[in-house]
Amino acid sequence: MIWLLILTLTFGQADAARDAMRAGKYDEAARLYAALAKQFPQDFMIRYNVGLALYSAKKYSAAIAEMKVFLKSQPASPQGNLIVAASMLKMGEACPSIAYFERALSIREMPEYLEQRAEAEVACGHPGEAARWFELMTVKQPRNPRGWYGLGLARVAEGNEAAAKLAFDRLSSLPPSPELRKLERDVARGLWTAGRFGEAREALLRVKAQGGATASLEYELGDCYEKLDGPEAALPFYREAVRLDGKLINAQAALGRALAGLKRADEAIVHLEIAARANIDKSLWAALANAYRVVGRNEDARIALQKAR
Amino acid sequence: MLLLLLLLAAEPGFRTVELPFVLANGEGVRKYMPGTMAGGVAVLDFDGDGLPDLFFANGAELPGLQKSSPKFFNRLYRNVGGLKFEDVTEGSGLKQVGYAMGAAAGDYDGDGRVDLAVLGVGFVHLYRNLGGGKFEYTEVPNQGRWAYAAQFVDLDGDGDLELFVVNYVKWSAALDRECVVEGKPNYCHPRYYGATANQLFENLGGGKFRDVSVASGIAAQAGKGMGLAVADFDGNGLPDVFVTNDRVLNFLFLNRGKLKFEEKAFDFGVAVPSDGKSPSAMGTAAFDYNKDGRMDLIFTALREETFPLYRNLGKELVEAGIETGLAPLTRGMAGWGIAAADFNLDGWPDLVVARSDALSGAGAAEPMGLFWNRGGKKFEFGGELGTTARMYRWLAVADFNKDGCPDVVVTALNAAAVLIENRCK
Repeated sequence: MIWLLILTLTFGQADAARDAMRAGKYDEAARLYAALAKQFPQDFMIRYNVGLALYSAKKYSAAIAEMKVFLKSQPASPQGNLIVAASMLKMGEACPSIAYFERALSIREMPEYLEQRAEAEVACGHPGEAARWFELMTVKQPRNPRGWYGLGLARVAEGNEAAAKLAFDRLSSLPPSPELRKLERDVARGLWTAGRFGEAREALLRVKAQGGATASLEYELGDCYEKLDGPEAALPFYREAVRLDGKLINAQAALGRALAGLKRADEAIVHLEIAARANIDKSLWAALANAYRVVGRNEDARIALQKAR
Repeated sequence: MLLLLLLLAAEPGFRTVELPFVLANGEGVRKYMPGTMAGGVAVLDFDGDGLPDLFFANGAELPGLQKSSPKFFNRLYRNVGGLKFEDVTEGSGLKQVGYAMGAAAGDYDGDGRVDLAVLGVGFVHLYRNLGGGKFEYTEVPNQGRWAYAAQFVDLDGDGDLELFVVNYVKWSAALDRECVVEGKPNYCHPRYYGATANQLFENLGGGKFRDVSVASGIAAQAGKGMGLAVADFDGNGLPDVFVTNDRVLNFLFLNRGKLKFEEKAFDFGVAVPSDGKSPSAMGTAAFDYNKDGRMDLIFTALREETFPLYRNLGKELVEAGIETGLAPLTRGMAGWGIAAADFNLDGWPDLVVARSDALSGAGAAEPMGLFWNRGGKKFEFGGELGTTARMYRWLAVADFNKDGCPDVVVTALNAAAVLIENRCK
């Protein structure tokens, strides 16, 4: 009779834990599974469930500890190894996570985890290895934009520009989707930030053609054109950027500086005044002082120069 | 075979010869600021045989600033003809102590022999040429400043040479900062060090100088000077002095006569480029690139800053980098020493630049750069003069083999100096 009662209570607790997991109440699930684990310390599947609930509750450190206990009895569990690896990755322990990923993916092929595996290599500073895993991901999931995106970035980090371009080209050839547009925008901005203006310009123009024009994008495009072809070529993009968002100080500054460089000081002053007053960069006051001087506003020039110093 | 390949690789008209001088900047793991700045060279015919000789300013141990080994000695080379140079430093009195940065040549005592000023961290030393390859050492007071560039020039029109000294930043081993770039120790941005005033020394005759920095107006401006170009920019018949400053506004000291100067860089449009961004202005040259009778101006800077070129309109100088094509050509380059000379004897002054970045590490080294002047309207990249990428620093131009074609000598950090023979005929 007592056995029956205990069994009933236990089943009830296990059901409650499962329900909590299904309802996304991971903390509660972890608590219930942990209580069960105390009652049945030899039941390794309960330890697994505790670890899974903790991982789902984003308690990565506790999840690792629990899952390591589970792995002592079930070292070949691909899921157990994956949860340890993924938790470590979340905690910034990319390099030690690699061994767990390695074990999990050698036991069972799980394409959905290739991306995390590759990201661990990226974070550990192994772009070549990361590229290998992203490449595998593109084979298994050729329509997943994240695979091509990751592969491109890994190739950039490797210094293999030709291979990076191929990967980004494949990314661009995928059917349009909001995720693809976001990734392409990230790629374009990354290339621009890295000072690879030729490739950045191509990428930005592609995003723009897909309807992704924003003030920031126009500003970055303008900067690419200025670096590659000079300030005259940049003007339409800078103008469009400030039209879309007059508060984008970088664009106002770039437009003002470009106009000043083209000896159009009177036009430059309008934009340099807006940008200089934001007080983000003293050199804007120097540019404004120069422009005032050129148009003969010597007193304004003197004041602006003082602010530049 | 290798020699043949090297010769084939060289651009037509130029041949490189490594000189025995190796610039030792004393650089270690920690990057003390003087390490990236070294490498001054001066051309002088010290023995009066008509052939231009060479003096190289050399580094020292860092941070101690001591010439603890012969590799740090300054060196004097006598041109024996045929582009051969003999090391005549021993016994000349020029080995010197301290960390030398630059040098200027000029017959300051008017005895017909070319003398030297050697500049460095905390000193300006004068070396009076006594003849027979001997020099006598004196010094001018510089209050421990980091003297970086100088020129002997008659600024008051009395027939003897004043000495204008450009000082860099306030630096000492105790003030040195540790900077890290991409996870590795590297040289710091000049903003970490204070500005200093330049100095002017009036020639009193008999090899004596007097510091007139304050009285002349020069000391009123503190900057971070790296180079100077002397020319009559405002057309009043008196030589003016343009001083490049590292990431702060440049100076243009207009000569008002009787050793009085007014700083007018902003009014003349050369304090800062029109975009307002003060570049790492380094070497500079005054030259009349469009042959309109007015002296124009150029200086070197780092990548993305271009090598700004200014056309002199008489009452101001205007940027000419875009109209001449020089700005896009030089946007991806970093430069130190620059000189103008007519390398192809077409009557138009061309430009030669000692290129490389100020930071150390991968990608910092660059080859030399030549820019052809096409009729005073456009500049065209003329190649790398057959050089390989090095940390080139400062250069000088002279016709070392007396063939009528200007040649170039250039220093590079921790590498042999290179003589670039111009076979222009």
